[in-house]
Amino acid sequence: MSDTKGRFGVHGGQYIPETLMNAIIELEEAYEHYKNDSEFNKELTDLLNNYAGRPSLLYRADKMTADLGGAKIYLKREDLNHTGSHKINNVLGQALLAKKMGKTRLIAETGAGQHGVATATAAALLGMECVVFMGEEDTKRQALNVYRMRLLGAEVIPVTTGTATLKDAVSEAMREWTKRITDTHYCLGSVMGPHPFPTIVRDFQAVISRESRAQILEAEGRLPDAVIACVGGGSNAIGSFYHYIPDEGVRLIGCEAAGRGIDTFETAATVNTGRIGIFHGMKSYFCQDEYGQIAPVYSISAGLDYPGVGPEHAHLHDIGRAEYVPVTDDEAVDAFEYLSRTEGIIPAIESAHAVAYAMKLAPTMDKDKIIIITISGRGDKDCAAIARYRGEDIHE
Amino acid sequence: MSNIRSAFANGKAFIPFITCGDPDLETTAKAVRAAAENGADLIELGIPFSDPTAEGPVIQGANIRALAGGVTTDKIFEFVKELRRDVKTPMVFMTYANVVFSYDAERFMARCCE
Repeated sequence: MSDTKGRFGVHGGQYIPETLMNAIIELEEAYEHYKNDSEFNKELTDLLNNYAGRPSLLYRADKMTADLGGAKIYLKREDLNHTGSHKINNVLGQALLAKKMGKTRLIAETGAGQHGVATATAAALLGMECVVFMGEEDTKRQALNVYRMRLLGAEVIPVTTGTATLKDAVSEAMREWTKRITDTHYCLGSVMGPHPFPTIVRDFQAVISRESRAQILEAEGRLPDAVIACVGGGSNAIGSFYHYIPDEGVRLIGCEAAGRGIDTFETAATVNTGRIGIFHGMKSYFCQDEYGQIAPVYSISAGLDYPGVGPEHAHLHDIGRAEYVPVTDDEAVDAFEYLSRTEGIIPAIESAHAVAYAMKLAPTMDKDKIIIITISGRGDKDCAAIARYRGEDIHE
Repeated sequence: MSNIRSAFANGKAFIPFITCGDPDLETTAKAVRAAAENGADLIELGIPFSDPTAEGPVIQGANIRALAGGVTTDKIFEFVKELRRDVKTPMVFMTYANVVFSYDAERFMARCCE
């Protein structure tokens, strides 16, 4: 294996136990084969278009634009996909790949439950067994999604170790994969983990920017000035950025979950507060203490509540191609309510982090500038939690 | 290296594993001495990690208890230096990449050599 394989600058790589190496090599070989296979791509495109509902809309948000009084704002509506988020793009790709590899069982980690629901959906459609690992804390925050996964025929296993959130769910899914690799594919939900996952997930999510680039050229005859997306592990962000990376004039802005603020310990803003480390199979930035112990991060958003960030984002930060800005719980909740009232679109609390930063940025830009915000998911799942955040005692 | 190789002189070796600082270093010291006195050929000392992805529930629990007890990589180096005064059984560390990477691999190896 060459030193550069799966590397993004110094980040990425394959830091995994021997027990996983065979499964990783098998996956890498299969992906290399199928990614350019016309039959595979035809089947995937058919699933994306006729099952998931792609292409997703690029919606011109006139009311928001007028209200903020600056740059023209477009929303890339990944919330309109089947299952309600961008996660289905990657899951259909990986599930199809797993099926071609002869696997009969999918396992996945989930934070907010969006990736778990997408995986359970693909498993139901393709006739595969499905087990989803979810932090026990998250099963409480996202009880509705737990029910949806079970309804779709998946088994949901609450993870009680560590902080009982997303990172612990990833650890548990990796443990499970080590134990059972012959019939099982680990359908990782973000652009993280050991190579080839960050590349596979990025390629399947790149459909977002492939579409938005063509859509904005069609609508405006030019590229946007800024593309904004929320970043946890970073799958919707890398998908939103990917086809603009060579276009130096397009600012790429990732919005990290700052929780209660980047000057507190209750934050998940990895690029802003973390440092380089090795965890979950990759080298990247992680929130950690001076001895390399991974920090118990916090965000109101279960989907962004992760102490690391995908290695390609770490690299885009290092070379200055993308910016990573912190957005607090308070700002995200304000944006969640703002977009609902202003455009009649209830965004996922994850996506609301991107909306919040756009609300700060747009007024500072001229009216002839263009911003695209990726709405990575819909916010139905968050309504009860946001109501509680505002002091209303409602239950699902 | 020769000490470690000689531990395998009989082809098979008895290698107990102990997580340092579970629940405190005094207990670890007792466990290491008991192992040494009862014929351990090599003693594997775990430096705990917050997210021991390769462990089952028992060692996961030991890692979490040890960190809750406040043990750190530096405290473990001091502890082993102290143990080495009377424990002659060869010892090796088992830990996770980020613990070594974060400490700086070269500095980590230098401390091991001490």
